[in-house]
Amino acid sequence: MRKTIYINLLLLVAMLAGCTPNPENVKESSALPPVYPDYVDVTVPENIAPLNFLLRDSIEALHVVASAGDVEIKSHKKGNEAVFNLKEWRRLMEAASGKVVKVTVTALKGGQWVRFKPFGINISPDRIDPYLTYRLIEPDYEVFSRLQIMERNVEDFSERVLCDYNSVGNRCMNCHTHSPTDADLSFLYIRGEGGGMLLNDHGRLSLLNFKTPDMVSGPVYAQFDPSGRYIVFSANAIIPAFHSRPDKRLEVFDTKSDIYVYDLKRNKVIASPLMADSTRLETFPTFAADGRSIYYCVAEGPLRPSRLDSIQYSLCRMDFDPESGTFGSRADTIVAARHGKGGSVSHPRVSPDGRRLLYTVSDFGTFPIWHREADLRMIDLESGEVDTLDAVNSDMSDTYHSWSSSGRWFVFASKRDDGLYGKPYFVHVDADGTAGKPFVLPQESPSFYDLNLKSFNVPDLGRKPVSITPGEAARALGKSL
Amino acid sequence: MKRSTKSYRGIICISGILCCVATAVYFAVCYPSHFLWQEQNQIFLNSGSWIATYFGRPAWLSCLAGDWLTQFYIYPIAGPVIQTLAIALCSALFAKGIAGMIRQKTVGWALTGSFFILMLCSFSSSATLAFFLSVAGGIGLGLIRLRIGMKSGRKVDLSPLLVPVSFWLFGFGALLTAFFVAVSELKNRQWPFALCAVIFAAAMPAVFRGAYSLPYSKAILYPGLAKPSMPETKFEERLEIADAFYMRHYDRAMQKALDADNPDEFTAFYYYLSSAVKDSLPDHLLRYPVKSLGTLTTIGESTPLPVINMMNDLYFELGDMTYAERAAMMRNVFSPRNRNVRMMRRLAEINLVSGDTLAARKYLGILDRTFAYSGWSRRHQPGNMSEKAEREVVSRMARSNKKDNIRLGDNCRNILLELLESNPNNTIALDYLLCTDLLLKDMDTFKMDYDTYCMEKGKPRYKDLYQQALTIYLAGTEAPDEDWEKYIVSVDIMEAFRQYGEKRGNPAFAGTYWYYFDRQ
Repeated sequence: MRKTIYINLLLLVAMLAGCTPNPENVKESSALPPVYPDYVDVTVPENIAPLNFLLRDSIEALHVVASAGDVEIKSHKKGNEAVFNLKEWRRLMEAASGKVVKVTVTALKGGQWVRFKPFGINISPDRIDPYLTYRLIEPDYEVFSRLQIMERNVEDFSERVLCDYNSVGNRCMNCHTHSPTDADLSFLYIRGEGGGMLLNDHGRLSLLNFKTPDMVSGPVYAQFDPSGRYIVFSANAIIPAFHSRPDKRLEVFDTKSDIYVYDLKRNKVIASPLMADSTRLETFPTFAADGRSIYYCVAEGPLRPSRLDSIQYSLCRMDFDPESGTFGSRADTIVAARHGKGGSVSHPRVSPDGRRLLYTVSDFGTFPIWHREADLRMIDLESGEVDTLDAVNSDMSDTYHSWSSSGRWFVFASKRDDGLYGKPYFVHVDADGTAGKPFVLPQESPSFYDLNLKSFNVPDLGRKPVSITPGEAARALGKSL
Repeated sequence: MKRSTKSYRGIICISGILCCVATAVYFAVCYPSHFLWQEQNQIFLNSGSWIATYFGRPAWLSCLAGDWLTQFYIYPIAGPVIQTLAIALCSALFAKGIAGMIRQKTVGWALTGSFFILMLCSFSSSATLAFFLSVAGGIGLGLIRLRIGMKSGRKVDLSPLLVPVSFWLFGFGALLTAFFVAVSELKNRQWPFALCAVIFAAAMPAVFRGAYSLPYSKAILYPGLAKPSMPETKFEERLEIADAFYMRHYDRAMQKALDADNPDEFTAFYYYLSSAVKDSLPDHLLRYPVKSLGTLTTIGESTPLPVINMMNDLYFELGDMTYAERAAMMRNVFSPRNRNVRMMRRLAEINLVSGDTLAARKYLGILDRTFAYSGWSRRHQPGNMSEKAEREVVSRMARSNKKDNIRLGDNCRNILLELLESNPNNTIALDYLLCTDLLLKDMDTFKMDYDTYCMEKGKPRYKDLYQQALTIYLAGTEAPDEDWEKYIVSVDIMEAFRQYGEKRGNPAFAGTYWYYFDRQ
């Protein structure tokens, strides 16, 4: 009896394995394959996870060969998906570092095998920081439920929860932010009563609450300085609103906002009257790479809700002395606000070498993730030259960017696929500052993004895994998990 | 003796079958909308990557099987049959489990009792099939005796190890597994093994709460308990009306609302919305005992789920796709696993009407992977839509908002005005605007709105309700004769108004706006 079962099982396995037909009588096509995600001619780091993809067509079977030099790997499956073995992929990446991987796709469609024009994937020897953190949230930021802050290893497909709704009583959480220099220093912010900044200082978790009575809110947009001693942050009175035109959807604006610096060493909040001016709206602060200046955005107040489209933000810089914790006496305008298309700046981020600054431009306001016109720009801080990053931007929102520690990569959230759900895209920046074509975070299942209903909010790269677990986060908040 | 046992079993068997048939019939006749609610409140995708997401949670087998079976509740008979079989399975396993612990004659009572309790549990709208499968799975594993022989010939009892397995497969079912394993071990005087089973049941959620990111209290009871409750007849009645509306059976929705035992704001809402879609809201406004259009309702994180559904339906019919989408997103966010198949369909429809084909394709792509909605998805693919679907989308497009404005809240009056600015022919929005004014007895605003959107556009809306209201305004403002001639075209209305003036407040005029204005 048992023998019969085993034989039947073996036969079944053999039948299933033998079901995938092999390419024969192949017809050549001069067209590139309709691959999703779009990995055609992208530049990826050598330590990236397999770029599994699917073909947007009714395909019966797929035979894909990826090769570089002597190394060749295959994916041969029924259906329209190409999925590579992780070990084989790593072997290929090792052999292809600094070269181009040639991908040949042969698809069975309507009983006919078709070989598409091969495409290349450029493998950069510049490695990317392997740990990506992000917040998973529905694109309805006004109401949320079951929020999660996640960490994904981009070298494989492992993902873990850093903090989630169960550990914080289903409260809202701001995204996780790494220190630009110290891989063991990071924070996330938990909103609401009993919340605060959850600081992860080399594995020690502490809950900081440095909101003073004169602040309009707790920290909303915050960044570390390179020494790890200071956190610059903005306190914003945020109002959500809706566009009546359904394609524009959500709008969020600040009625008040000011910038402060928190000194972790002295446990003290410091401010400059120029950055906490009640007649203006100051927000999106970030330190320069040397920590000696603060970049931020500023708009002239007061805000009139009936004229939200007239609120444009300039990019400014102010000196900061980290030794004494004092501010400069004047603010310099780096990019001036202007009315009209792309006239408002948000989310400045300085590259780790201090040479370049990435920022978002949109028509107005503080919520570019919901502005389809939102694009990235990169300014050379030495020459003042602005790169419009044409190869990077799409006709949907591109924003929420951050640099890798090497400065050779940056990650940003883009809604280019469907206009609704943000996904993390990576871009290579070469030594001359030329940005390559972006590629989306690879997923084990190529149809993952098709089925996913959460936005990857504010992706941030880190060199090491963050030592926060949901249980520790709960304990830091005085809860148990 | 054997014969008596056999006949006793036969009686139990026949009674059980009759009981099951009666239960299934009861569910099918009296509770169909609850089953549809379960089906609509979740989504199951025929996709390997979707199914793989179940393995990261406790009770993956009961959740997976439960969700898979629930997708068939779209068919009216499937829910009652599956639910009855699940209850019967749980009861039969329970009876078998305790058969050795109690007198044989009382097994039948245990079976009946457990069946009855589980039936009460199934009345709750929050009871999922996964709960019943966890019960069945947990007891089922508890009844297995797992022993392996050693070389010495002695048997080693591995039954306590079934408890962790049960937690993995059936979540809280592990507690039932532990109970039956422990009882079995105690009967064999193997108290250390019994203790092991109990310890495993208590420890598993503690050990794996971090991996599953669940607090202990949730982990030990995952996927959640269903509490016994009496039949939710009121909720069933509401669901029936809402479902009839959703399926475009407007006459049925109105009739069911009229037949409601205790009319309330919910039944009134769908009565009015159905009549508005049939272009007859003014004709029905005063015919329903409860006056609630929903135009004064706002939604937020603490709004009950059926009310969010209501507002989604209202804004979708009015043509405000921004707020229809907002309500649909909100409803998704508060659904199990943040997904709801009805709202997924609605999101696809909204984006088709908005002309956002990329977003529409996203939702259609998800629906394409479902068992019940893949055909619907194919019929709504942009560029390849069926004639009927296209006709509906085009007609809704005409009603939707074309102008952009930034709104700070869901003030329905502003929304209605914006819709009418975009399309003055949007009679649903017009009727909701005018009828809201009339329910508030705000005659000045009514007259202003009527002038702006009817008279000035050259499209006076001659409905008895509006004519009656205008007579009140004109009489109240002592309007000149030319105004009366301009606004009041019905001789019957003039005559009735004259008669009402003589018998003001007379119940014979109940059903007229004059009577409502004076007495209600």
